[in-house]
Amino acid sequence: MEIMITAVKEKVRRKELYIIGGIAVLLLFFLSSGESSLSINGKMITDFSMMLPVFMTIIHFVSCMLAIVLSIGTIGKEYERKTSHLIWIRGMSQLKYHGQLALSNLAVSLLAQAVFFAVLGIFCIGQGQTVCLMRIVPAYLMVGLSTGMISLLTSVLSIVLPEFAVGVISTSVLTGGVFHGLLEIAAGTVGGASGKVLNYMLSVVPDLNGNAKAASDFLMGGFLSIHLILKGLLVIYLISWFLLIFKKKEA
Amino acid sequence: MLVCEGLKKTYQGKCVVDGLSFEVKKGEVFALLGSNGAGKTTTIKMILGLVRIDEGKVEIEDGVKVGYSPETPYFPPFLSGREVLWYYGRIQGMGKEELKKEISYLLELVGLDEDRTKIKQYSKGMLQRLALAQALLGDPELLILDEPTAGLDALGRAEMMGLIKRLKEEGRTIVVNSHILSDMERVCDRGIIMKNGKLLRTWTKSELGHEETLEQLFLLTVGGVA
Repeated sequence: MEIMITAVKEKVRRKELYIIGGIAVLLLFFLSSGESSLSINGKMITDFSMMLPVFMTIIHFVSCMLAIVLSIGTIGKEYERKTSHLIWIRGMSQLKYHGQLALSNLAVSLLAQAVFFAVLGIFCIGQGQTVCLMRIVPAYLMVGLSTGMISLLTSVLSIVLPEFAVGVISTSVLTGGVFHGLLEIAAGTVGGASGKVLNYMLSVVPDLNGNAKAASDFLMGGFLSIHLILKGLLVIYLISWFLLIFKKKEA
Repeated sequence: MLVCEGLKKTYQGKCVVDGLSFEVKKGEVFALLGSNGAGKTTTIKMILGLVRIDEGKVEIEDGVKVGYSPETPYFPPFLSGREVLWYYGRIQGMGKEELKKEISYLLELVGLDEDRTKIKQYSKGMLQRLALAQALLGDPELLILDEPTAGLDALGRAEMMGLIKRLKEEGRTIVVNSHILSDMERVCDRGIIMKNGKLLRTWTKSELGHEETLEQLFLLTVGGVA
């Protein structure tokens, strides 16, 4: 696990996590200041039970976007600066090498997400919602399924595709996943080839927003959906197979 | 120890190594010489399996461990020299106790202090020495050094050549890729001269008399001005 540990250390030192922490602190400041002007259908959102799903959606989306940013360049840089040469000649398989790098991406993405959840925890305490704190870890893991999927997808695509293409695909999957519900409605109303394409995309892109909704429901006292958890784990498992399939021809 | 037969490599329609054949004997220091773009580094990469061979084959004696020092080594800047060697030693499966002893030995061998200096504070010479140290992890019999003196000043080059001589005296087989002919003349036993991916000629140290230097031989072979 030397490669994974060193890759995580390198990312932590690159100060991206401090920028993330800064964003998270700003978010908390904004949300707790009473100056926030969130509203739905003209009605101001001030009640905790209404604010929480909104925060969870924001945290979920930002965590997944950060997963793309944190994961997109790791494997490519190894080959660009030729550190891969000194790994390849030591007989390590590409599966193990890329797998450890992908795990480092996942670890740092989840760490970034943890910063946001720490902020959410502080917000809950500030709102007197200490019961939420008891449920924050499972909710974190629920959102972590989305973060993990996006991070792993970005990592495996970066083995064979240039950064720009990886960014476009990962962002498209994220957008499709976050707006899955809206796309389902659109697929139902749009006919012909467009409808078929949309339906196909919906079958391939997981419902990431479902994870965020399930996490906020759980924090408010609901139950976690086992179906969603298993579905998320299955998607992660299927994506991880591409670590075996996608290989570099040359170092 | 190492046999290359009919090696060929093409990149985007351009043939960078064309029908190259040579043999490296056990215990000798063998030089790959040529100007920039001659195909030396590509040849090394084919030997190490870092790039696919389009045609031909490479045979390394069974059971021989290979160490490689790249031309422009990149090491994580936040690690120290000791930590870099630990990192690569663990990747190649060395045990912790064995690795600790070996790292101390190698750092002393290449003349790097055992302090906590981070890679980001290393000079070019120190990086080259560390690259050599990591190539020596696991005590390989065959060493492949790609431009080991690139970017070094005269003192740095002399020290690096001294290290290579010492490694040769230990009985290691060394393949060196360089375009600094005076350095190669001092340490190498044999070699080849390449141009545009082709083998122009082989040479041995004994061929170089008192009147002819390797540089003169090289210029005569590749068609430059002596």
